[in-house]
Amino acid sequence: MDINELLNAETPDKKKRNQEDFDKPRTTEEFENWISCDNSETPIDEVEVIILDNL
Amino acid sequence: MKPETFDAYWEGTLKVILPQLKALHPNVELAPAAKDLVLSNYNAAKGVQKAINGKDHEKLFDRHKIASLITHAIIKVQPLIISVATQSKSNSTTLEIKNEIFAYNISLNILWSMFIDKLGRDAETSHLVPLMRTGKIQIPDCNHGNFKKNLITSFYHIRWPRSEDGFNFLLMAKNYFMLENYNLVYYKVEDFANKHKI
Repeated sequence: MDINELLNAETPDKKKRNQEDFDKPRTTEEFENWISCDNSETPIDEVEVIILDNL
Repeated sequence: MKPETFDAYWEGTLKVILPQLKALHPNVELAPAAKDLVLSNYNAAKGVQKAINGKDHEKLFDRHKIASLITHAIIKVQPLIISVATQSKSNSTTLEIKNEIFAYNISLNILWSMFIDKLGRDAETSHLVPLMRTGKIQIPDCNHGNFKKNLITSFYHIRWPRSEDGFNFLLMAKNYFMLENYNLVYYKVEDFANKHKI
């Protein structure tokens, strides 16, 4: 694993995929769905509460 | 969010920061019914934002949006007050900052809890969770102040008068500033890795 992968940086492969995704023609509804990433996997009430003391 | 969940974040956060704030200003206290008011503001704002911005109402809001709405609710309600007997004109600014610090802390506790949960459920990232639990959240340094200082000042920028078309250029500038700092950290790490080849 190289440092780009570790840092989640945009590698040439990822850059190409991201550009293709960005350029993809979309209807208004598809566009609105694309820009609103509004899903979470777990309801907040089921998540373990962590209180940080180093903020 | 269930009241008992919110209560755990609220009380847990206050337990850490209230003694620190009281050490600086002993007369800081919580406004009566502030907790219920913050939660009801959050729930109401979430409903409105889901109606406006959430395309699929069955889906859950992600952790960034939840944390952001909690920040907004606390800044709006201003749960920390200074007892009337000791109020002065100079108190208002420092009190506003204390509420912003509270908003920052409780929002990051929510964000971090949900982030750890997400990473723990992903096979590619679950191995990071023990390290992150021990190391806790890392606050990047910036070329002036650190991330905490910059995020808290952005709470002020949010309320700054926007341009006539509603665009908040100071908040957008803050996003660009954070990108600069991500790049500074990125290239410092890359430089270090280049000099310490395994």
